[in-house]
Amino acid sequence: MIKNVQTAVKFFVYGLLAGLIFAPRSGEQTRKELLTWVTSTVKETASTVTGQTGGSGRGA
Amino acid sequence: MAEQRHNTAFVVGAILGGIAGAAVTLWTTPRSGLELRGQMMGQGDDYAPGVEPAGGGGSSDTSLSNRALGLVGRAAAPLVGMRLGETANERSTETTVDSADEEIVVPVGTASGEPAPGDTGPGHVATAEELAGPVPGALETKEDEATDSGRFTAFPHGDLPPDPPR
Repeated sequence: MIKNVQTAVKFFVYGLLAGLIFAPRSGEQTRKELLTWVTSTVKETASTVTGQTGGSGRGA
Repeated sequence: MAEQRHNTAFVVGAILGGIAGAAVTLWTTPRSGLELRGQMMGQGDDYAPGVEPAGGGGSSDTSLSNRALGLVGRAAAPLVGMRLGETANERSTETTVDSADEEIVVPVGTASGEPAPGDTGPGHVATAEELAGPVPGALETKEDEATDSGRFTAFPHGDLPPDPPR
């Protein structure tokens, strides 16, 4: 069990280093873009669901 | 069986650990990897915070190659005679400017208006009498222009044009 934790921590550090070196943008920009993407996706999904529901309701 | 489970746990731990580490870094990193690499290479002053340099991921390679070329150029400059990347036009421009500076220099004796002995070249400074008098060659040019202009006029001898028919 301890070995598994050690392995996870070791690769966690590897991931940290790789992310630092190859990060495409700063963390602040990443958070903004991710938030924008989540918001737009939720809105599109909600509009799609409500549109389908409204269309089926009218048909019925 | 136990060994296979151990291997599976190792792989899963490695993947999850790597993903978690990368996610945490991407979420909290203060600058992009390109800027970080630039700072590590000693070129942090070229990167403004929050501004992506033009060229994307290729600019890092370009900066590295530029640094290498700069080192080679500086090392080979005494042998070649000019630095790498310096064109012949730049060198000729510099030479022209230098020679022009040399031509602009006026001897002290001619600066007071007195021509130096035998000085009729570009450094000659005209006196007030020369400026007030006629310019040599200007009258000949005017005469030539008069004859030339008379050659192409309809009434070269000053005759009046005939009356138009009624």
